[in-house]
Amino acid sequence: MQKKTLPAENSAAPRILIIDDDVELCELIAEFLRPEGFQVDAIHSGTQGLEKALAENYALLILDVMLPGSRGFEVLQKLRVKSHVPVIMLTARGDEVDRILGLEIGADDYLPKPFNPRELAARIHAVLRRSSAAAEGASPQSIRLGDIEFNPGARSILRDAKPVELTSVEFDLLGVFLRSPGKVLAREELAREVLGRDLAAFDRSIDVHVSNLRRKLGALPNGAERVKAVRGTGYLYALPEREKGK
Amino acid sequence: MALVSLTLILSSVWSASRTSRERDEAIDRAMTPLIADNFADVYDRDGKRGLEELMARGRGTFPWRPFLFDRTGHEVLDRSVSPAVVEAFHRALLSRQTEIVEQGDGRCVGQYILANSGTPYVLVLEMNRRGSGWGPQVPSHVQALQFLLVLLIVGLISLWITRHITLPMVQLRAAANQLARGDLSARVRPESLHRKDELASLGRDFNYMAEQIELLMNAQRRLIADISHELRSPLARLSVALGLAHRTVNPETRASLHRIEREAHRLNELIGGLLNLARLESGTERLEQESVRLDELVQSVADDAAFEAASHQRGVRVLSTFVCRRKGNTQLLRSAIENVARNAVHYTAAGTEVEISLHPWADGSSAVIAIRDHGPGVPEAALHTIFEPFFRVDDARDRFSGGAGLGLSITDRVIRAHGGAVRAHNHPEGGLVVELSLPLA
Repeated sequence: MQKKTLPAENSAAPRILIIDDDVELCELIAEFLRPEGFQVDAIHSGTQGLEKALAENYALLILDVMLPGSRGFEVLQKLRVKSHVPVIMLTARGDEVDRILGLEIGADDYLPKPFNPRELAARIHAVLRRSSAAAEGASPQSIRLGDIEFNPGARSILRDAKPVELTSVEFDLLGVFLRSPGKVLAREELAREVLGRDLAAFDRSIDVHVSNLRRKLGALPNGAERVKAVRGTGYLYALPEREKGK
Repeated sequence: MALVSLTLILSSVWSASRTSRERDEAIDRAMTPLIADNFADVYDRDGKRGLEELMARGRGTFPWRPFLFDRTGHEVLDRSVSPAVVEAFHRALLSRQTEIVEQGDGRCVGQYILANSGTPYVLVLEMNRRGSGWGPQVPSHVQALQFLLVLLIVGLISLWITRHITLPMVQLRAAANQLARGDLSARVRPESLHRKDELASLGRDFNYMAEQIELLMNAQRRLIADISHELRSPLARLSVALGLAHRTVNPETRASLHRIEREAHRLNELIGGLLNLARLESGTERLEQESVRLDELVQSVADDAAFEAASHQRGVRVLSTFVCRRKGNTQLLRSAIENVARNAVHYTAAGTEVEISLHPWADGSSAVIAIRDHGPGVPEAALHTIFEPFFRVDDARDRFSGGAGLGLSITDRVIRAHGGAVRAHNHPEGGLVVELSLPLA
């Protein structure tokens, strides 16, 4: 299996924190991830996990949403108030609501249990690649399109000069859309560019992110749909000037 | 409520009119003999002159006109008489008693009497007005007022009944319907429960029942979630352990590891299927409904299935579709269609395409989703049993099928829960066709 190269400026092994109450599982995951080049810590309570995540500097968090007591979502919500550290959620398979909610609150990706640990490693690499690219400011110039002002430097969005709260993934997704407006972008393409990985069968994460983005931004000023779904292919960000009567 | 009021009004008016008529009759029979006795004696003794004087004295006191007849039918004062008077005379003569003849707006009372001398006479009193001829007449405007008063009282009674009985019952029905539709918080409002009667008790009992149902449903949801978690934790650990094992094995053991992985995958699918089934059976999922675009759902499932099929040298194609929508649970409907589609992809021969079509049925009153594969089909005798949990076409456990026979039973339950039906038949040119029909409400 090929090793992914880690970002140059972070030459020390990236630190990962797992917050999951299953002690044995954490040990197994840690054992798997260490040879992949990660430094892994594990915490088994939500409240302690939150404290540790905020107190120390982690490159990524793995969070179990089914934590007893202080549920995973609460931890995620409280975390997002203070930190933009990338988070991968571990969810229950088949629980759509949890997945959508988690991505909305600000998780970067999710993986349902039980999972193939190689898949977990791949997603961790993808998320880290994305966040370091963002930190390096891969495309530093701002974009203005219609009522949207997109500032990658400040990682902020203005709609009608009013700021809009987007998660990290939603932000990147909007960036991809704004760089190719009026063009149909395939779901697979979006997944590779935004999530840094391929879509699995029946994997709806891109659709969830698009749906959340649509909801947060709303319709275009002329009332038309901002992001159109192109059946069987992907999505299209509408050009605001021309009103297409579909 | 309106019906009750109407009945009350009509019956009170009717009984009022009946009573007055009975009363009049009673008075007729009591008074007429006395008057007849008086008139007959006066005539018998004093002749025409005496009778005329008596009549003149009584005129204006009573609203009837007296006619005295002798035995031969001759009116002793030679006056002309109306047919009703004549009839009353004849009847009274025949029966030798008091006879009452109705005449249009009034009546005639005939009385057979023997004067003191023994001579028989018949006195007929002609009354031209409805109502009693004996007492002071109730003027019509007072009668109207009485009627209005009755109406008012009946109205007030109806209002009271409505407020105290009908309204609480309507509230109870509303709460029951709300509960049935899935709102577990439905209760009878506490204001209606402050009375001390059976309706309040009924309301309290209903609230208690609703509470218990809510507790049970919530407990069941939690149980399903807990079971899901408990069953999947060992599987999660197993999966990571397998990942670790993969790193250190030699090629010979690799095959065994793959087998273990496959079993773990199957266990996971089984758990998922069982939990879905449990959720469906408990009815907790039925509750979230919205307007679903069936054509979009079918296309979405087809796209996903095509993705999966492609990695197995198979394909999925949508042959026909039409825009239609209906109320339902998107998630459940998606699973239902997905299970059939994935099943078709598993069984269809390599290099073939699964064909999906969505078409209207029965003049557009329902929609049918047909999924056809190019696989071996199913024996005719087993066609209706494939929708039962864990059914297998043959006894050999097919290693490729993966779904462990729960998918179709879930489909069946979901479609039935949406008021539809599922059926399967073998395509004449080979393969199985599964049809899901849904009424378009």
